[in-house]
Amino acid sequence: MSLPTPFGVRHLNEVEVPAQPAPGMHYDPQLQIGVTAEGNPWHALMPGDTKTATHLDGKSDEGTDLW
Amino acid sequence: MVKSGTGTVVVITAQHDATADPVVLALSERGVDVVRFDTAEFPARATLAASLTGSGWGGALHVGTRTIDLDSVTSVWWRRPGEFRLPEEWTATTRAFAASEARAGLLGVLGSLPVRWINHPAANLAVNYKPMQLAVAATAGLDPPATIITTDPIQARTFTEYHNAAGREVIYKALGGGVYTADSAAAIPTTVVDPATLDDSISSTAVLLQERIKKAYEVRLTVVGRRMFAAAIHAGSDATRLDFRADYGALTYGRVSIPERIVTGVTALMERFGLLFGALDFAVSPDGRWRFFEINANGQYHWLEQHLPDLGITDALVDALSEGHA
Repeated sequence: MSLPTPFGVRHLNEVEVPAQPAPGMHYDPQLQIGVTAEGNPWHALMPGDTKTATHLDGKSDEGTDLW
Repeated sequence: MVKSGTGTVVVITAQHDATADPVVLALSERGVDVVRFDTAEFPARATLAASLTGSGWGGALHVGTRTIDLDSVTSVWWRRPGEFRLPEEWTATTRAFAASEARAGLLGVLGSLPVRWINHPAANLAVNYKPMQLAVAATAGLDPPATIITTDPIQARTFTEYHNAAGREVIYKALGGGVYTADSAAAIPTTVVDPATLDDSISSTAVLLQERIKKAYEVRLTVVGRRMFAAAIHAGSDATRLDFRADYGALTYGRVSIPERIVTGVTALMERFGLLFGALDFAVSPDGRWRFFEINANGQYHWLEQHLPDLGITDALVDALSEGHA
C-alpha cells in the first residue's frame, strides 16, 4: 500500500513550549498544598525545569489526558 | 448517588499549574479540606491502598504527609495531571506495563468515586472528538460553520470551490490536538485552503475543511455548572483574525452578553456530554450571529481573568467544588 504524505503534514509547525508562565501569572510555592513523599512541597522544581509543562495558561488548550 | 457536602476536595493537576493556584487558595480560605495531587507522583511517591466494598472503592491514597480518605472525597477537579513518572532504568516494555497498570488501577479507583467531577475524564475523552462536538452543536442550534470530514479529494475540491464561488474562504483545521512527544510539540494552525493544493494527499488521512466565518469578534464562553461567563476577544492582526491563538499580544478583551438561544444550546450540549466545565469558542459575525467552533472540556480560562478580573470563573469553580453543587 502506498499513500502520499497526508495533506495536513505540510502545515504541521513546531510549537515552542513556553519555559515561563504567561504574563501576569507567577508560581507561588505557598499554594502548592500537595507534598511529595519526602514531605517536600512541590516547589522543589521551578517552572521551566521541565519541558513537559505544556499546560501553562493562556498558551495552549492542548494537554495530555491520562484517561 | 453522587455525594455532596463539604468533604475533601481533590485537585488533580501537575505541579506547575498556575490556574489551579487561585482555586486552591480560595478553597483553603473557605476552610475546605483540599488536597492537590499530581498523578506524576504515582507510584513512586504516592501509595494507593483501596478495597472494594459494598458501596464501591474505599481506602486511602497517601501523598507525602497527606492522606486522602476515599470515603471523604466529595469533589474532584480533574485539571491537567502529569504523566506517570517511572524509573528511566526500566525497559520500555516494563515502563509501558507499569503505566498501563497504574492508569487502570489508580485512575479506575478514583474515577469510580461517586462524587462531583469537574469533569470526569471519561466525559472529557468523549467530547474531545470534534466531529461529535459538531454533531451535537448542530442539533443544539449552535450553528457551527459548514464542515466536511473527508478522504475524498473530489469532495474536498467541490466543497472548497463552492464556498469560494460564494465569496467565502475555506479553512483547514486539525481534528486532533497536534503531535506531542516528550521532546517536541507540533501543531497545525488554522490554515486558509487554496483549492489547487487539494491533491491526492487528502486521501491519506481524515481531513476537516470548514467554511471561514467572517468575524466581528470571537467569544470564549466558559461554563461552570449552569453559570456562563462570556469574554469577547477582539483580534488586532490578520493572524489573530484567522486564529486568535496565533498571537495573544494582539488581542483585546471585553464582556459580552449571551443570547438566550446560545444559553439554551450550550446547556443542552453540556448535558449531552455530562460536563460541568467547558470552554467554548464562538465567532460572532458582523450581523451578530453566534457560530459554534469548538468546546474544550479542559480549556484554559485564567488568562481571561488576567484581562477581565471580575469575570468570576475562579469563584464559580470554587463554589462548585466546595458546595458539591454548581
